[in-house]
Amino acid sequence: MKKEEEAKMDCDRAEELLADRALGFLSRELTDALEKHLAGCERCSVEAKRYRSVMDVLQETPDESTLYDLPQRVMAAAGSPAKRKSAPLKLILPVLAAAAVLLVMVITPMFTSDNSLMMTRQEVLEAYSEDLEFLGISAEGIKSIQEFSYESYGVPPALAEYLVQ
Amino acid sequence: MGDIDPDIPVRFHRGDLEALHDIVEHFQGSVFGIGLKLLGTVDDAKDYSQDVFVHAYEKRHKFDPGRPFEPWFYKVALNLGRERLRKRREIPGSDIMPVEMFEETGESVMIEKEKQEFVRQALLQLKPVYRECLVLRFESDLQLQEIAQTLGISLGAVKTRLRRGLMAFKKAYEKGRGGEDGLR
Repeated sequence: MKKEEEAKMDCDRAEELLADRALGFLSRELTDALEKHLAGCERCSVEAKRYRSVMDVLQETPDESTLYDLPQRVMAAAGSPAKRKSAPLKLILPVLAAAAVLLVMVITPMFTSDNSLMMTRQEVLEAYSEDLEFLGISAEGIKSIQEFSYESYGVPPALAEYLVQ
Repeated sequence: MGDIDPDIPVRFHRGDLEALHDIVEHFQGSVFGIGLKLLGTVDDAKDYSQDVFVHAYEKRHKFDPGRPFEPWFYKVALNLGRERLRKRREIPGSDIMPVEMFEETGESVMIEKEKQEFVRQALLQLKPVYRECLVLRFESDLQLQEIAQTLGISLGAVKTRLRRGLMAFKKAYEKGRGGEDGLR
């Protein structure tokens, strides 16, 4: 029984060595020891042949003829503007969303503004008269505010219409 | 496949498209081989190969030109292969080879494709650490030490993974071919 176990152990060890030999790891001494074992063990000799077959399968070189256009395809993909480095979409999207919201806020009043909701310059001055007094703005200052016009600062009349008068 | 001109990875790192072209010419065979072993069909392997080179080019700033190019490059290739396999597993049935794969005329072509499929199926049954080690050993021109660098493990661990991987592959391949007698 002990002998059988030893023989089995030898075969297990031999299989490891067969794998190592197939991979090119085996030292001269171990190769000799393996050859000795194979000479007296039919089962392991068959295994040795099978390892050679498996190695042949793994070492087979694929037919590369289908790769004739690969360099061109890679160059086209790597060199195309869409593939060039740019800010990631996840960073661009929030900025675009914020810009869109801002645009809507600016444009919407142009189409929906109701003059009844707007304050005239006089109404603004009256509403903030106490503040103006507190800030020490004189009557002359108030007069200059009353005479202020956006147009004199180069703001187009179409836009000035929507600003505080 | 000999060693790559040391100037090419440096120019590649700077974004030189000509260097990328040289890299494709140099590594296309091995990348295609990895793709074929992992993914099984020529079309998938070609598609994968293109992605590997384009992806590497996009990530070139992560490559340190002061270090060897091959381990970095093959790491990119393996990561992409891993990702593709993961996506396949997420789509039920997508891991089954298309019928047309076996419909081409010519017995030798069919036998060859069938064999490739057995290889792929056997590799898929291995633990990923064994599979990646074997694929690098048989498809790249890397030395064992470079495989260790690529995988971030010791030389001893590479040898152990290769030995165990080969033993497991043999078993799975023989089983797939209908027992030990199926081997030719």
